[in-house]
Amino acid sequence: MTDNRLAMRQEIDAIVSRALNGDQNGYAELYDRFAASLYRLCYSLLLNEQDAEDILQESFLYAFKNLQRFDSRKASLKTWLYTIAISRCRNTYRRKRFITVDITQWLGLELKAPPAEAPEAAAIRRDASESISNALQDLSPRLREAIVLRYGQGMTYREISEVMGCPQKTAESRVRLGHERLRKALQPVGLGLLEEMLRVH
Amino acid sequence: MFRFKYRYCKVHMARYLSGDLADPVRRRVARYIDENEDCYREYMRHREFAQKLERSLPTFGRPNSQRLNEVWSALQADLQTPRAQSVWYSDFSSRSSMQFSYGLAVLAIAIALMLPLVLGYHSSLLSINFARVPHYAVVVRPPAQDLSSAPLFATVEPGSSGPAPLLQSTPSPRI
Repeated sequence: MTDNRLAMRQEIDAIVSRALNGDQNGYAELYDRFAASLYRLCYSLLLNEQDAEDILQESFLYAFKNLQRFDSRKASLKTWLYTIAISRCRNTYRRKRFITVDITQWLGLELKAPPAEAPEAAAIRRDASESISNALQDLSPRLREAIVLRYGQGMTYREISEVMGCPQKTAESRVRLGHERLRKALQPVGLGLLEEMLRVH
Repeated sequence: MFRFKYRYCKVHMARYLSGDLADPVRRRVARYIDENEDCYREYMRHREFAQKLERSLPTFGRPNSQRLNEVWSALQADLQTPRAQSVWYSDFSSRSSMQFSYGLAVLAIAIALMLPLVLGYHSSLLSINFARVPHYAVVVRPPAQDLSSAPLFATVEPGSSGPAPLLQSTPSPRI
């Protein structure tokens, strides 16, 4: 573990201790640190804004109520929170089976075009988002999880294996398979779509 | 041989790019990339796509702060509600202890329901008389005695030898 990571982990442990000792600001601080990335994770997996918000809320509720069970020697708080969220996302896949993509919400949130943008450029951007969303949706849930954790969250293979509850080798092969399938899915429309996504932000 | 090298590179490429390979494997992949054109192409393709994913996916699904504040408010409200209301949802230990106590209650009810049946079965079994019983009830009157004297009761097994008994005519039962 690098010094930077170790320092961050110690800092988070201190916040957890404060929260467990009844400091309400500790909870707020934990939420501020992890809410955005946890939301992104849920949204990337479920591709639905409302579901992502629900899972975010449920995950934090569970985590805060069971914070005394968190053992920093076993895993980092981030890994623990992600495990909770992924497990709830899996329940949602099972419940819904077919994920419905709320394109209008997504476009409203993700692809706010700059005011001066030409309608043509906005249309290209919309197409790009839709294609990427469809490509992600075509992946099986396990491959999507692996891809999102690896590339969306920048996790190591070890962390991915902890969050997904599988051996590290399995995590690696899932990332590799997901990577290949995503590339194949995006090839017909062109990999420049990813650049379009970047230009939005 | 070239196919083998290509496959080897393909399998290890993702970890090669992320720097997660052990030294001997990493050196081997690097050598194949240098030597083999297909491996090099695979490397370039993989690297380009991985870089794009690494840059673009973190922007995917980024929430605005207003939404996160709304979730935080809802979360605070949930945290302030009494624990008992969400016991099924969140507290696994309470849930399992409740499941255990409910299980015990169901078991007790099941036993209570089955007890009369089991006991009734036993008592009905006990009430059956397995001893040999007379097949006929007959009254034997000695011919030389007074008819007003009390009749003698005896049991006669079917097929037994001796004089045929006089069967007393009995009135038909009133129903």
